[in-house]
Order: sequence, then C-alpha cells, then structure tokens
Amino acid sequence: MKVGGRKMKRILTVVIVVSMVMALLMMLATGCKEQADSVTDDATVTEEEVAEETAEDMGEKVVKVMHIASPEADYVAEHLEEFEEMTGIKVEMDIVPRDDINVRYLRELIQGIGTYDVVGGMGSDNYTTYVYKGNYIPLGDYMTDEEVDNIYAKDIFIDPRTGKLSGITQYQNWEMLFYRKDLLNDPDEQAAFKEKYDRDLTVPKTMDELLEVAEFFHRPPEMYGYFVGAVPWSIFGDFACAIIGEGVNISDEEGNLTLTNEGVVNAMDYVAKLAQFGPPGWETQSFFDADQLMQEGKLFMYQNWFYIWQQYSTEFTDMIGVAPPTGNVQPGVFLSGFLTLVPANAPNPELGIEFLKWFGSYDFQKQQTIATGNLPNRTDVLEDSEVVESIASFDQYKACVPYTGILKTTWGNELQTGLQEAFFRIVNGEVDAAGAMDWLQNEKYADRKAIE
Amino acid sequence: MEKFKIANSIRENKFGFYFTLPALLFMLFFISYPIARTLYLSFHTYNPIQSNEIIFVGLENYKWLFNEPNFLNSLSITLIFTILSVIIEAIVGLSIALLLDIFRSRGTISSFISKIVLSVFIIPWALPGIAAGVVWKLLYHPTFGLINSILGRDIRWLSEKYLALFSLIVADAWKTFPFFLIIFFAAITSMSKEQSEAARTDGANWLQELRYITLPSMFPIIVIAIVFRAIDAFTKIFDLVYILTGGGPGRATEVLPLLIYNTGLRFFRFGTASALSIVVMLFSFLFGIWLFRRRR
Repeated sequence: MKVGGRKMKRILTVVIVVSMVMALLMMLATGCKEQADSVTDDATVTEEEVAEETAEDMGEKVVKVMHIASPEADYVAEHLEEFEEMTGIKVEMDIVPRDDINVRYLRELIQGIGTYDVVGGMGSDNYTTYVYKGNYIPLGDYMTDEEVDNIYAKDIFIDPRTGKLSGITQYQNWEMLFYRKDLLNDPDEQAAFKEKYDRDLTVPKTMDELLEVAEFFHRPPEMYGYFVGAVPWSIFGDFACAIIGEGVNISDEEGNLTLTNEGVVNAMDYVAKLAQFGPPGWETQSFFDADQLMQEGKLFMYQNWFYIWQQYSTEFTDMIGVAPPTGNVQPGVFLSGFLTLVPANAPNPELGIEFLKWFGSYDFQKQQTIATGNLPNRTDVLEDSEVVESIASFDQYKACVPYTGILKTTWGNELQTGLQEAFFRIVNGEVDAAGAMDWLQNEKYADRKAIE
Repeated sequence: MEKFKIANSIRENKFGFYFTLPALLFMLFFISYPIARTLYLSFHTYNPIQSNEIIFVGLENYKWLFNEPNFLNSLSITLIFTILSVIIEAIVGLSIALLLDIFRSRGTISSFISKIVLSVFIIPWALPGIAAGVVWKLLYHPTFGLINSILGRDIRWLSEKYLALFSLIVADAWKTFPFFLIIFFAAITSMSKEQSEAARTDGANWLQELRYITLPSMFPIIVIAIVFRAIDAFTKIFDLVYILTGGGPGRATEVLPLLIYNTGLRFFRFGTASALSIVVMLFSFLFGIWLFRRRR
C-alpha cells in the first residue's frame, strides 16, 4: 500500500508540475497573441509599436484609434502615414473583431473608461444609441456651419441633447438593388412578362412590382427570384429598407415605439412575402451567401451594400445591373457607414479631433471613394468629376441621397432579434403581419420606448 | 476534531501547502469573484445604455426568466442537444476504441497502425470550434455544399427547425467524439487481461466478454467521462452554433450560452444575463450531482 501511495504521490507531482508548466506556456502564448492581434502581425509593426511607445515617452503626440475589423479599417490602416506626415501625430490603431466591438463601444462611450481618442466602426444600428446616449466630444464644436451643412444626412448625427454634430462617418453607403440586367432586357422575357402581368418588365420601383418580378423569375432550382437572408443583422437591412421605403419609422417624435403603424406592418408583410422566392437555406443565411448565388447565375435580384458593386461592375458588366432600393412611397435608402466619435474621456481628445478632421477632409473622402467604391460623407466630393467617373452607374447612387434614413432606436441589436422572431411567426403561418407587429409592440416589447 | 486534522495536515505538508497557495489564491479570486459578481448582478437591473444605476430588483430577473418563452425554448434545446450529442459521442467513441483495441492486439504492426489511426481521430477535437463550424457550414450549404452534391438533393440542413438541431449535433459529435475515444481507449488498454483470458478459456465470445467484463470494468470511467462532457456540452456549446446557424432558423437552435451572450453582450441586459448564467450553472451542477449519484 505504501509503495502504491508513494507512486501515486510521484504521479501527482508530475501532473502538477506539467500542468503548471503548461499553464505558464499558455499564459505566455496568450500574451504574445494579444500583442500580435494589435493592428497587424508582421515584424515591421512591432518596430512601429516600439517607435510609438518611444515617441510617447519623448513627449511626441500619439492618437489612439479603435476600429472594427473590416476592409474599411484596412483602408484607413494603409493610409495612416499620410495623416502622420501631415500632422506629425503618430497613430496607434486597434482593430477589434466584430463579436467584441459592441462591448468596446459601451465601455468607451457610455462607461467612459478612456482608452481611445477615436472610436470608429459603428454601423447604423448603433447610431441612435451612441449619438443620443454616448459621452463624447461633439465634432460640431470644431467645424464651421458650412462644413456641417456639407455633410449629407447630417440630421441623423445631430445630438438632440446639444443640437450639435456628434461625429462623422468614415464613408456612407446603403443597400442597392442588384438584378440580372441581361435577363431583364431579354425580349423573350419581356414579352412573357407582359403577357402574364399586363405591364412592361422594368426595374421594380414599388414593393408590388418587386414581388411580381421576383415571382416571374423564380424558377427553382435553376434560379431564385429574390433573396432575403434571415440572419438578424442581414434581415434587419431588408426590414429597414422596406420601412423607410414606406416613408415611416419605428419611432415617433417622442421616441415611442411605432411598430403597429400601417407602413411598418406593410413593410413586414412585403419582406415575409419576398422570402418565399429565396433559395433553400435562406433562413440561416445572409446577403454574403446571395453574392455567391448571384455570381453563379442562380439568383435574379437582391439588395446589398455598395461593397459588391466594384466586383459586379467590372467582372459582370453585361450581366448585373444596379438600381435604387424599392419602396412604395420613396426609395428605401437605409444609410450606414462607420460612425466615428471622440469619447469624452479620451486621453488626448484634441488629437482625436485632428484625426476626425482628416477623416472628413476632401482629399481623404475623395481618394477613399475612388479606391473602395463607398460613397463620401461630403456633398462637395459627390460632385467631384473624378469621383463621378470612378463609380459605374453613379447616377443610381446619387438618386438615393435625398432619401437616406435609419431606424431610430437605442436598442437596435435587441430589436433586430425581435423583428426576426416576428418575421418567422409570419413565415411559419402563426400570425399575419399585423398580428406579428401587434405581438411585438404590445406583448414582447410592451412598456418599452424606441428611444430609452 | 476535524479542524485539528486539517491544521495537522497543513503542518505536515507545509512545503506542499506553500507551493499550492498562489494557485489557491488565484483560483479564489478569479473563480469566486466573477461568480459572486454574477450572483450580485442577477438580483439587479443593469442596462448601461438606459442608466448607469444598478437597481436592486430581488428575484424579478429569475421570475422573468421562467415566464420567458425564449428561455424555456433555449433550455429544452440545450437539454436535447446535450443528451443526444453526448450519447452519440460516447457510442461512437466507445465503438472505435473497441475496434482499435481488437486491431492493436493483432501484432506489432497493427499496434503501430492503431496508434496512428488514434492520432488521426484526435484531429477534429484539436480543431478550433470556429474553424470546424466554417468547414461544416460549407459542407451543409444547401446549394453548393458537398453533402447535398453527393446525395444529389437539396436538403436544407440548417434551415429546418429539427434538422438544424440534428445537423448541429452531428457536427458537434464529429468534433468531440475523440474525447471519449481517448479516455475509453486508455481505459481498455490499461485493463487487466487476466479476467478476459479466463472468460475466453471458459468459452465466452467477444460480445459476452464485452458485456460481462469490459463494460462493467469501464463503468466508473464511462460515467465520469459522460458527466464531464455533458456539463461541457450544456454550458459551453457556443462556437459551432454561432457559426452554423446563429441560433436560427428563428430561435430553433438558440442554445443557452448563445442566449446568455445575446442578452448580455449584445442587448446589454446584464442583470437578466447574470440570472441566466446562474441558472445554467445550477442546472449543470445538479446535473453533475445526479449523474454521479447514478454511478453509485
């Protein structure tokens, strides 16, 4: 027994020592990984980081920027040198994964922990939350009235508490309608459509037209008429477009929730009807899946953000066309595009403001538009001839500018899930659109306001 | 008396005690503080977007949970997921372990090959959940997926309510059965061969040997492995679901960890999310106790 006990002790000792060594190694590895995660992972950046720390120690100016992991953040990272050369301010940029970003916004802009001078990457589902509730330094204080007026859709970014411009977006975009141009212009298809619907086959402008065209081209399994991806963050775009297209919103002037108003109910009804023309699997897919279907020639049309147009307009020139998003009252132009703010507790707010000014400058906005295909936030850049020439079908984009809007709520992420839940109740035949929205407004979100 | 025993034990093993003290303090702080904080928040309302105030609400969060259809939905989904995935993983793991053992006993080369095969089986377990999720998402894709192209059918693996849950269970079983395989294989190979040889001498066939000798000998290990894995599946299944279905279609695969993530880190309802976490912790605790008692 004694021998067995000793043996056991020896084994336990080995196990404990090995575990401790493993834990130590893991801690070291985690530490290394965290370091590598900051900005990029090559050796040059490590040198740059060292240089930044040295610069800070020597009293040089360093602005700390937080951004969301995205091609747009990569674009900024690639052009930081321009800012540094222009201002002499070094930039330290953290690119945060999407799954972590919401908590980071909360910590910087609500709880005010003050790590960063610039907080960027907020999509429109967060606009109202942080413009209305965030603690930040209003950029409007550092801009002339003319400069503020030059930003289109600026009202979305005005803080109702102060009446001042909160910050600016890195770029602006919205969902457009992408469709099979070749099929739409095909004389045989046009004749068949006219015979069936007693009207010409054109790019749909209203939701009823959209339903008809989707139905006409829905020929599974060769082709699907329309795509609604029902992942919450994807379908929220479809809801938002349809609601804005009805000329209504989910909130009234007092910030009350208005999910049962006729326009919102109609919008929900249309989105639910459109979903039936989707490919198998749409229930757990997003617009990214539709991109692949479109390129394979298996989808007739869908709505998506600007990013895809650069590829379509160069690789599928004769096949795919672009048009403003549909809407019964107006084009359903659901604006988004990485809002950027300077937190009130920023360590160096004046440097943050400098950074935002660079973001909003004519040159940055122009070059970014030409390089990425995302629209600028400035009206004057929209008029620039080089910008106009750089984007195919630019007129289609520009036609949308007067109608840009967002869904106003301070709990957009939660509402996304609720809307998706209501949508599935309709699709599963449990209730109609009016019943679903009534359930949402008066049961699930009873006693809640859109702006809380 | 008990007090003296502990004091004596510490005195006798002073050296060992000091060695473990940092780890104990570390554990005390990094385990007990988050649990205590979560417990505290579960009795409060805290939504920083609305207000920075933490308001005491007593049992309101718990009451709300048990009246909330989404919680009950998630609870039932997680239970179904846990039970089915653990059963499948244990059966597959045990079957392969037994097959490898038979193969191993056929000579040196066979033994060597069985070790290689075992190493290959470990690969899914070593894969990060996110990577496994992406691979399975591609395999399950209704239009371009490999599974449908082999079957020549348009099956909506991730879009039908029950099929989506089944698909998740299959993906999870693929990823996690090596856990059982390794444990069971180790248990089988370390078992004394005397009983088996005696049984064989008495004319027992392989099945009888398995039923009356191998499985009863392995039973304590099987129970422990199932308890660990069940608690793990119940409380930690997140990455695969997040990537494959995001909890959909609708909320058909919204397991409890995903509900907690959404409630806390997306909706910022920290009080409710804390109550959810405490309930999940209690469930897994009770589940573990129940399984251990079954072992006796």
